[in-house]
Amino acid sequence: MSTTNKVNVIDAGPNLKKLTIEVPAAVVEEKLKTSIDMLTSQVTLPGFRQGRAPRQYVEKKFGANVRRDAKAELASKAFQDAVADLKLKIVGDPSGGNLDKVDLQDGKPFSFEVEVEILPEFELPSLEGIEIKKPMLEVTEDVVNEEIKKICINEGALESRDAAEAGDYLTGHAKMVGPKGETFYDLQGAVVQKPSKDKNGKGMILGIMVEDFDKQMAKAGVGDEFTIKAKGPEQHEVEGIRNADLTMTFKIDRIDRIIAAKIEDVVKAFGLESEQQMKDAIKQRLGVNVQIQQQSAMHSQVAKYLADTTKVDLPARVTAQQAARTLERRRLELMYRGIEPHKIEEHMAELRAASSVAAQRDLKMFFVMFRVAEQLNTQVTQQEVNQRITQMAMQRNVRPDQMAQELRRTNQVNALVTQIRDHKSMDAIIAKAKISEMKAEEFNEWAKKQG
Amino acid sequence: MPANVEANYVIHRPLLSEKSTYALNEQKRYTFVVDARATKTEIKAAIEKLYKVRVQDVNTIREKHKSKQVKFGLMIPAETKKAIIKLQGDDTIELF
Repeated sequence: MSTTNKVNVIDAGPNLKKLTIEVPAAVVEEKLKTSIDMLTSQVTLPGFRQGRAPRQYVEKKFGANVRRDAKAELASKAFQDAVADLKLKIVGDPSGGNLDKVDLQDGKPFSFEVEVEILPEFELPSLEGIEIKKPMLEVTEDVVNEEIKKICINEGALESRDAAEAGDYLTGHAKMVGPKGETFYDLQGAVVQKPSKDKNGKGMILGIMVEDFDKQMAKAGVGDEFTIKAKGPEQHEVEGIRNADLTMTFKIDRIDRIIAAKIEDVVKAFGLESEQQMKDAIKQRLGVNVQIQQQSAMHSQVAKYLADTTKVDLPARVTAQQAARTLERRRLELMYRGIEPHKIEEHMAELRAASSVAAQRDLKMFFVMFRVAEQLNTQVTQQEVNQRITQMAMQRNVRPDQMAQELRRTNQVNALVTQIRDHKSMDAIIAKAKISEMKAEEFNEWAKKQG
Repeated sequence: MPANVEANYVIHRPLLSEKSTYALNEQKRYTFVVDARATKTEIKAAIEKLYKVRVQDVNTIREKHKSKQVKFGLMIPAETKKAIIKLQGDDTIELF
């Protein structure tokens, strides 16, 4: 009797394969026998000492569960073997199978179907000698002063107001309702900011960026309630919000304005001796950020080169799943660059509003970078992950273990590993690239032209 | 036991224990828990009716159980009856 699985593969669409796997009757019988024998030796039934109950009695009592478990194990092993034998590179989880409908039967082969999306096949361009522009960034006095201003605002005190003016923070009860009356969010203690003058009336509420936020909000005071109507972004992680006509109400409980702290007070609060010492410390920190920005600028060019020169047919189902993951990666990227948390949220709201093209581009990059890492044999060690966590913790002024805990809690460790792998691969490409340096302004002009 | 009682009331359940399994495997004797009031004749008739087999011999055992002192007095459990059945020829009962 044959003990090898029969596997039939058919193309069910672009990057989609349908596998029909048949496990021979002998294997099914052997598996069932082993499972029941193992259970018989372990089980204690009334009237019998452990392992003394008759096999048939155990089978009658626990047969259904044993068959279900044996089916899951056989299916999983057969699927893994088939994937390994056919050398399929699978993306996402298998789906569309009939596994729930088929049962294990004695003396009969076990046959099931499953659909898998596979890694798209494509050719990578040459990874050597790419032309890269390196912006020469400097930490000037103005940049340091701007940073000090931000710190003063962060360390500032809140002053209660009766009516909201541009830049004021409103705290209250926010609710987001969909077109059919379904409630997506109902938050007490939500915070919105009345758009400051430089934002041209654009504002954010419950993670949704609204172009005419200021116009819809109009004049508002403590105890007032205002309603914002907006369309849900295409790529929002909550499916019901995507492209839906949303109504958001906000009842104001409190209005606060941030009064910036005096620089002398900030210097004292930070335990520094003088303003100059603080400037030096900030300059040093910004210097590290500048290096990261330079690196990011070069990485962007590598990414653009790879995206422009590679043609990839994307698997449809995974594309949608990736959209949600992409948002998380972007958030991580912004955290790594040391962007302030509220700015990250604003940026995320804008990202959600971006078209699905962005998600497709990111997914394409994911596949391309996967292949690049494979070709360059890029590996990520635990030490590198710890280093990156420490770096991010320093930028956010939290302890590394707190940062690590937060990443684990929000399931972002894998995204971090992918980010490090991508950065290492890109650095390897940059090391073999033709780099030409240019001033920051020239670089910005050039980048604008490149789009 | 009243006359013409339903077979299901006479036979409670097959008794599955190590001892009864041994008796079944080695001596082809089946053990059942039966109504304590049932006679051997009634047990024989009930088994033949329920399992469509021919019974050769019936042995019965009345089991007394330990009484227990509880808060409200002495609890004396009801007696139970076991019947050990020997079948004729190659007749068998599917217990599992």
